Amino acid sequence: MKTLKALTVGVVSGLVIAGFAFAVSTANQTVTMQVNAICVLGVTGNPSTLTVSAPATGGQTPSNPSSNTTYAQYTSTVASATTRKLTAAWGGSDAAPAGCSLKLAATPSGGTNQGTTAGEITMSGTAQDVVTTIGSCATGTGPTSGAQLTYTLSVDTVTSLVASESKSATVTLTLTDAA
Amino acid sequence: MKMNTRMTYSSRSRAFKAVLIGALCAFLLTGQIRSATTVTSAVSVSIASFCLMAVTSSSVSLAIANPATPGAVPANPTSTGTYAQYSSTVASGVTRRITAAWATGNSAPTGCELRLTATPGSGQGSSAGQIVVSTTARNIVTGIGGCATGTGATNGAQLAYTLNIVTMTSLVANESKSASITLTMTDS
Repeated sequence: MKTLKALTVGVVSGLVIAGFAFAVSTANQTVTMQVNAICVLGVTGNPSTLTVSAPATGGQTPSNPSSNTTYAQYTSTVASATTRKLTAAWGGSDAAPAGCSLKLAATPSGGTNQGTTAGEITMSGTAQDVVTTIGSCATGTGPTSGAQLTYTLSVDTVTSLVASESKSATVTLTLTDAA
Repeated sequence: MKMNTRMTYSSRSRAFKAVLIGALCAFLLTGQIRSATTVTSAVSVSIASFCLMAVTSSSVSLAIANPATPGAVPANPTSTGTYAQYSSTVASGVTRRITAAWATGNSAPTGCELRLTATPGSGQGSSAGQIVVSTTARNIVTGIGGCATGTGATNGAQLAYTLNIVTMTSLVANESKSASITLTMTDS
């Protein structure tokens, strides 16, 4: 009888100890989270053809044709206290028609960190700022999201205009770290 | 007198041995239950509950990278390659749960939060849905009864970690954070 009791006590004790030993279990994982430096830029399309045409009234200088239907769209992440900028230039052999110059203004939407316009520039082979102080942002991808690009063909010297002259130029926009 | 003394000693010794044998049997019995997928009870004793848990990998990496389309917010990176594996026995009417938390001092990168969803296999409990990981332990699996998830590479509750971008304009390029997540399996 004593032996049976002792055996029972031993079994129960063993089970209780085992039960307590495994009442809670934990496991750990280390999760590494990284934000990469992101700098991507696109445009919604090409601007319409800029054509210098007849003025409404004889004797007037023709008006400057413009196109503002395209947008620069960008996604950016920047390090603390740094910004990016958007520049524009065309190739060394590109030129506007005689007597004209091509101007560009980029106007961000005003969204946080999407930057500030640098005003209108005259296109040349040298990259010039069109938007500055771009931080971490995503302009969106809708048809009117991003920095609106306004191209204007400015008639500078009407006496130099050559009828039917046509030029095609490739403008390169670049999103880059601010100096 | 001498004989009486020897008899008492002998009786105590037998009792002590019996206790030891009993305890040993109990541990062996418990060990067998843990390693088996089914329980056959040939001994009329109560079966103690236990729970054991591990993860298939101790490290997970998530990186916010370039979006496919300029202007788009980058995708929230997700890792689904790790699993929580567990063995559990419970008393009738009792269930267990798995919680997740990180210790004070851990955080996601600026503008982000870390989310976690655990999706157990059939009969291994129910997902508690997606949680935002914080210092407060939150349920990720509930209703765990008696089960053994298996130990294969894709057995158990699949752990889906997502680095969620909350505020795009707050992201800091090249910021990296490493956090230790503690998963705890315990009684509900």
